[in-house]
Amino acid sequence: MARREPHTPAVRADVQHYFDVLDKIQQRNAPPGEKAQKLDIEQEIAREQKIKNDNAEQDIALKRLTLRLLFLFLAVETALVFLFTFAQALHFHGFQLEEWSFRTLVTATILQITGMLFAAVRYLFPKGK
Amino acid sequence: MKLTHVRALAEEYATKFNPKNLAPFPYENVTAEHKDLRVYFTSLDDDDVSGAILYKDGQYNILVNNSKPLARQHFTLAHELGHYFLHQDVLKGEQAIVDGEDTLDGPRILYRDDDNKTKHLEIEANNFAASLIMPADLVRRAWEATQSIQECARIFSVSAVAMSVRLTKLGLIGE
Repeated sequence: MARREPHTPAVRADVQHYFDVLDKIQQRNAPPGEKAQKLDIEQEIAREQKIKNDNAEQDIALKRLTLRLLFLFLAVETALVFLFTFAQALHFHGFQLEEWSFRTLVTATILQITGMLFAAVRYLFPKGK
Repeated sequence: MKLTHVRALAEEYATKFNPKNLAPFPYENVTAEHKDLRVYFTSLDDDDVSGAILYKDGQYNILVNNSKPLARQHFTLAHELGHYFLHQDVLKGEQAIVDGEDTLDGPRILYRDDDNKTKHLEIEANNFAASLIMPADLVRRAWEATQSIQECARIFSVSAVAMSVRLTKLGLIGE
């Protein structure tokens, strides 16, 4: 029998318990260990990398779509303001806006375009990403 | 033994016994080659104990408390393998090392009262376990791909706590 020299009776009892557990297992002739389902770490990393890449691609695609729609909207709006400006200048079909209405329209449009471009750059392309 | 040497040894064993990089660690490959080692997952009737390694009749017997979460069991097994590979002389002399619930942070020793020696053995076993089941290169790649402690823990079949300790030690996240 192998030597066992625990330091105190309490400790001896504690350790002996584990030898008793071992004896019981060995008497039962239980199969050692249990089979856990294994994951392939390399595959999992590749899968995570793919998910990350897919997310990035989706993010880029959404940003691209948003910017296209934004530029389309701004182009249409700019074209309309140009039309108003020409109509105002040429009095086309008697088109005539009040001087201050026209100035307000042009100024508001310029401010809106600037603001939307600023917001697009600020929120679609935040610093550090 | 220096901890750098312990880690290098563990990674060497990881390459040898887990060439396909599987998780949890395929300990069957170790027991197939080392006939003096047996692993049992069993109830230890003590929630404070995660596992133990017992030396009896020339055999090393690892007991893993199967009432613990699976992630904890995997780390405990790796920790006990650390004792098997590093501390056979100690085991032959003392017969048993019983590791408590706080294995990862520090040992709860039931058998020895030599605190410094015990602490050193447990630190070595923990470092061995971490490097065995979470090899540095793979952990770095997993972290790069996920940037998530939970996801990394899932990939390596360890607890989030064990993974966060490993990531900290590798300098991938802050303290």
